[in-house]
Amino acid sequence: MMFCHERSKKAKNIGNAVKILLAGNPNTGKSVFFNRITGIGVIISNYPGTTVELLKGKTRFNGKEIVIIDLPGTYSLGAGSMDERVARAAILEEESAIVINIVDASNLERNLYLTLQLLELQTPIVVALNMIDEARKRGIEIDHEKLSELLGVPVIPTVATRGEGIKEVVETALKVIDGKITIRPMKVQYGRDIEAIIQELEKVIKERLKTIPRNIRARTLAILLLEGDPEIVEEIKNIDSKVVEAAKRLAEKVEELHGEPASLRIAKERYGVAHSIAKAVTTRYKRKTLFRERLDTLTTNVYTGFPIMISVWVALFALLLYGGSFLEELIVFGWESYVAPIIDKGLFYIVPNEFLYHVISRGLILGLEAGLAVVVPYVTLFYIALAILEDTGYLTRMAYLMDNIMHKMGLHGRAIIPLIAGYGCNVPAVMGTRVLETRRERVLAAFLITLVPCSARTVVILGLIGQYIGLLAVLVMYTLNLAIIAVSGFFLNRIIKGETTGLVMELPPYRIPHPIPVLKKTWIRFREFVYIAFPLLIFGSLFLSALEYSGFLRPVASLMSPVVVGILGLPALTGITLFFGILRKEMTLEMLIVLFGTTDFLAIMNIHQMIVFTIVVTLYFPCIATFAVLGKELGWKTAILIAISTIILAIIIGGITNLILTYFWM
Amino acid sequence: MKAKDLGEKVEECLEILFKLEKDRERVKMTELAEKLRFPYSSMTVLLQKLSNMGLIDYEPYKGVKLTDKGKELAIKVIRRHRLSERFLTDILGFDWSEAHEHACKLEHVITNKIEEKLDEKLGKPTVCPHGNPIPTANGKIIFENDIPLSELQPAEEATITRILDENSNLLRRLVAMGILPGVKVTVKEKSPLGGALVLKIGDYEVALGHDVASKICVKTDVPPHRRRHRRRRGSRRIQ
Ligand SMILES: Nc1nc2c(ncn2[C@@H]2O[C@H](COP(=O)(O)OP(=O)(O)OP(=O)(O)O)[C@@H](O)[C@H]2O)c(=O)[nH]1
Ligand SMILES: [Mg+2]
Ligand SMILES: [Zn+2]
Repeated sequence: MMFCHERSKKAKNIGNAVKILLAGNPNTGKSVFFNRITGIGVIISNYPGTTVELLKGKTRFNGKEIVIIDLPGTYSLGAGSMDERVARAAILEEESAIVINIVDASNLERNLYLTLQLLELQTPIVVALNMIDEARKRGIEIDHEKLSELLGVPVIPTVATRGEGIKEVVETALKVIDGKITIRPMKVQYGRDIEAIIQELEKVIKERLKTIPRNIRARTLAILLLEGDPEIVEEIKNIDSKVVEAAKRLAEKVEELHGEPASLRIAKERYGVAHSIAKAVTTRYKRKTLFRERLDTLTTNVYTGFPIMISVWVALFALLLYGGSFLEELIVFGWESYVAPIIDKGLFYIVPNEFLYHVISRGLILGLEAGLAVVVPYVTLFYIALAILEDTGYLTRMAYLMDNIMHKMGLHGRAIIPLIAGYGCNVPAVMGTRVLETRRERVLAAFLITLVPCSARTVVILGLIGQYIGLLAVLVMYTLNLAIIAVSGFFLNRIIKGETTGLVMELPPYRIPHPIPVLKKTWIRFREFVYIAFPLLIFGSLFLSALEYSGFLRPVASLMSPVVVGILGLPALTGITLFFGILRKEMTLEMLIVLFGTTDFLAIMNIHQMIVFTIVVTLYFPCIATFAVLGKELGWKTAILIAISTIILAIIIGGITNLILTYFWM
Repeated sequence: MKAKDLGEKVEECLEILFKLEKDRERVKMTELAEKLRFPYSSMTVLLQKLSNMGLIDYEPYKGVKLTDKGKELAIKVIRRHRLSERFLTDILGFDWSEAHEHACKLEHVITNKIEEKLDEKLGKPTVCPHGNPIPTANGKIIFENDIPLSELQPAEEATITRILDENSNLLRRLVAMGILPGVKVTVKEKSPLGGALVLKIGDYEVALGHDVASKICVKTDVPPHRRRHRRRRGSRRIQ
């Protein structure tokens, strides 16, 4: 995510580049489009709500400078959750030249609802009729020429994953901008009485408002007001409350006439239009039940769904533990016998000071080894497994099955997806909470995510517990961690005030994950380790050496010793490494190596201390990147509150573990 | 405030409560005041009066609920309102979009005797000009006998009748996803112990939490007493 962010900042100075928005329902392939057009690696997964922020990318197309913006998916313009609000704000506010509306051909009718809303806005659009391969498999054939005729805008059939039709879509979009193709968008016509009411409100709007915010048309505003769109109503109320009053009165009139709220009536009529268009262009063929439909039933059914879910978890752990440790041995062997000696020699010649050479060479070689030995096998394996789970669409089934349990923590099933992502990295996971509807749920989920051992913490857990006690102990640690999360969730649910909502989530069809996208996604996530973690590691080691050299280390360590030594029973100097852990969690381990000059952690701590140390590292303060994203997403007050709570939690649980281990075990 | 005015307000209040209760358990005082166009400050007096008459059950902060007696009276007022509407359109030649407003006035001055004669003269109509059912003389209204979606069993088909929602956020979300009154749905799977369910709507599937499903009312094609016997499993149709 961070990388896309950086690129997006660069893309802001657009100049005379043409701006194109990618809009559509969730999970229709917008990000695949974005990736295909710009070449920028973005996360693509088979569940709704993968993209939760604006992603901009600049590229050249046929010699023309264009800026493509990938939006979060949204079912309608009357948006609810944060990610949908981002999409809607972009559609209403970004001064785009054109919108490419990505439509799922296998699910045309519902997708057309948003298309009709886009047409009402009167921004020029081009429709990409995506996933026609999928539609065909399900026995659905769509006459795209007729659809184009009915909608009055170009419709181009595409298969984004195979790159089919994407070029044509962009070409057509550019032609529309240049005026080489003229579009005549259909007018969405409502029933006679609704039309009369819309026109009446339109008149009021034209009379009372000099300019309409966001440059939308009077008719569109009238419809949005009649639908009672909270954001728009509030906005207009501040300009001229009489308009809102008129809208309210007219909406009531609709309700009297039709016996249902105006918003519902309008939606119904819009669906009516979508239905008749879809019906006119769709032909359905008889077909067999697909294997994946059987799989769908198996994985959601009461009797088979839960056993399958548990098996998936067990298989995942087994893969990580056995596959990971096998790869680890392989890598360590290769590193120690081939790469490490070369680096060592190189450093010997480059670094002039002998003391510095020792520190750097030790820190770098052992640090890199710790990184490589654990990060590469375990973390990449996890990311590959996660990518496969995401691309199949299984995560949504898990969300469905877990709904009941998540309610005990004040959340609903959908929150399970960001929570699982948290095992990879907390930062995108916290961003992922945008799909939740209320602030309360977001705070709750974000808090729990910070307790999830991300891959950096996995490095520590495996490096200490895995190495010195065994993989079974690692499993126990993870289970304990789950218990801590569950108990914290249970208590937070009672403490945090606010609204709770329920699960409403589309279940996408199962898809076969393809190796190349899976590896690409793994790399997008993994590169953070390469680009950020390794430089930080090197600077951290240098900084630590400098600190030690200038004699600052001991005073700082003794300042922290009441907690570190007194409560947690750890060696005083380990407190220093906890500071570095704020930057990145795995640095606690790496800095131990640099600080004590050995990779044999048993020389630093006994087993009992290792357990306490690991627990503390896992729980205390979410790393600085997570903290920043918490602040950005939920406000700094909440971020600080979460950070302090996790520190207290770490000290309490670490202290208790220390006590238990001291008195009952060793 | 004159006694006659208050009497009119009482009837109107009952009528509005009856309509609002269709979508929720209890009606908030603020909402009631707004719909009634009645000053909030005088609401307590009005509600107190209704409560004393045994027409409503009023709990501060929680809201208002009609008692059985209140419901009966409300249905009577609705009958008179809708008969008045018919009278206005069928006999006096009003436009149907105007009928409602005038009927609001007329309904309060109709006596039992007038009501009876009106019904006869109009040929015992069953629906108002807007298509809403007119309750019968003995206070029966053709209720849609719908049930919460959460009560359906896997493989059962139903049509959504209404969505109960206090603040319309849920309604908005569901409508955007194509879950709204009039839509045909099939329950595909259902988790035990108040878990979520999987709904099939046309070409796509949506998972709904139990709490959400219990706010969606549906009508099955199968009569209620037959429903229990219809727990077929695994029957899939392909369109
Ligand atoms: N069969 C098929 N699958 C596709 C096609 N286009 C996209 N997909 C798949 O659809 C899923 C969703 O793709 P994304 O690009 O992440 O969808 P999105 O619209 O960005 O989704 P959100 O970010 O959640 O709104 C992925 O699993 C894609 O592989 C297509 O043309 N055919
Ligand atoms: Mg996306
Ligand atoms: Zn009527």
